[in-house]
Amino acid sequence: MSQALSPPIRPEYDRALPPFVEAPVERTLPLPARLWQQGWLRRGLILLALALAWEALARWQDNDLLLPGFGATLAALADGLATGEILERTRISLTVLAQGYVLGVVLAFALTSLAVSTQVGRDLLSTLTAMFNPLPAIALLPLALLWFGLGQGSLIFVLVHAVLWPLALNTYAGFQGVPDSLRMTGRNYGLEGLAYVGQILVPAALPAILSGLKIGWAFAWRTLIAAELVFGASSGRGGLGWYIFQNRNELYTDRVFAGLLLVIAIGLLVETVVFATLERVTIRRWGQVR
Amino acid sequence: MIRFEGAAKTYPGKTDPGRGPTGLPRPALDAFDLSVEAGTTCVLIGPSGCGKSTALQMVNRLVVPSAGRVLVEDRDVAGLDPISLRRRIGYVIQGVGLFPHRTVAQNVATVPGLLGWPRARIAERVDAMLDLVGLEPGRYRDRRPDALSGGMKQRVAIARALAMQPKVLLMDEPFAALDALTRRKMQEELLALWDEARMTLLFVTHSIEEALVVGNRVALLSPHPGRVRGEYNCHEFDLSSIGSRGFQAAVQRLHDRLFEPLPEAAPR
Repeated sequence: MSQALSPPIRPEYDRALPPFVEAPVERTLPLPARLWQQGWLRRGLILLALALAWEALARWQDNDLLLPGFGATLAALADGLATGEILERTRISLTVLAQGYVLGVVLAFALTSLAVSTQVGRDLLSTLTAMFNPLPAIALLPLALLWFGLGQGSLIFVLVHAVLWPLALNTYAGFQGVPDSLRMTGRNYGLEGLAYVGQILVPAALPAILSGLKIGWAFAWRTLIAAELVFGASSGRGGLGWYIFQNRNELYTDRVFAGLLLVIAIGLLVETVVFATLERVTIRRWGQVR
Repeated sequence: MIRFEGAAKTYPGKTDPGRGPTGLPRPALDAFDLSVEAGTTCVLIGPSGCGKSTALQMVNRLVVPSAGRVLVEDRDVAGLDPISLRRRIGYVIQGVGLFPHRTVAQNVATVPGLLGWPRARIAERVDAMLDLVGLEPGRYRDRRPDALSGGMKQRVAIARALAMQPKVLLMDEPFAALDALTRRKMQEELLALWDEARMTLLFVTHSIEEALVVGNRVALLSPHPGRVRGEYNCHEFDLSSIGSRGFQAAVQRLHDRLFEPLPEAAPR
């Protein structure tokens, strides 16, 4: 600083601070404010508002064939649950889904493990995901039918396709984002191969992996319902999609809505119960996401 | 003790997938000679790219020298099993590198756990180590790294590195990411630790002040490739001497040496 500071220059001072003894300020919030802080309550209110709007629209339309109300849909759903038909359909769908999902996850992990360890694996992964990720799983269904026939084989094939690519892509991106200091630490402690992937890469990349699992689940669920709509029952054992399609053909619109409602409900359940729990006990507790 | 004998390392040029090798090979370290006596501290200081970290990583064989050799306790590290070598040498890095999914206690217990110690012995050692680095075991044992401040994380990393009570400790800019006050506190604690355990400490830093405080001896490195430009004794300095005239003079001397231009390379 070459230029002199012009007056006025204020005097300096030192001050002896007394010890700070005040208690932290805290008071209870009023009940409505506390209730409003409950996430489930806010979301429940949104759902309730949607249901009311739906019911109102249906009553105004007054045409059960085109738009049955919320009440009628619930009644059809209760009816389906009571006879056990809709439960059986759901069970069929979920069984197939689980098989395809698990197979897809296993393949995705195999592919990414290969990709982190070898150059060829990296090239293979990037080429395959670039080719197949944009390809809608349902577009492979005709081919799958040709190869595997009308049955679970075809469904599992398209499910694997739906899960594998997004999950592999996410997992690989997560692995690449693992900080160098952590990799160095792992190498320093002599972790190699599967121990290295399992103890260093997977925990550090878990946010990306979980989001890949979520995307994979959503893709798989929607692909499955769509696939069932297209070719439906094999040997009289159709899933939830087939239930929807069949009832539309017979103009049981309320049951169509009941089926759709169940598809949504299962999606919500998996998202808010399974994945939310998984996140809570892992990445949230570890502080990787807030 | 640690001894470098003409150690050199040349990294291959970067290889771009698809385009093949790009760029020239980079010599990181050349004809590197340095001895650190057992139970003393030596600080490597120098500008970026002077191969400080490379030298450090040669000691625990994370980097293998292209020429020359590195001895730890009079044995060439090239002839030792790298994994058991690394587990016997403490290693602390700037990025900390704690496992995010493990608690503080599990992090500290990494090597004892890998060696399969009985549970009770591990717990005992973990508590002792946490005490050593000034973290109350009862309060911090079950926390996860995310719930700790930068200084505390680095304390846990130091506790982890010391869990096997190594005779050799390597620290690569361990306090560089900390604020000045925390750094001062950590230096103080490190010196107290060293005073008690008297391990051989090889320490890398960018800070002249830190080098003089932590080191018994400072080695000044030149960049591209790293070579030792000089070694200076500074065992008489500790944290209390920072304001003193002698300390300021030593800082100035190192500072001048650090910024002194290197002789031009002879034209090829």
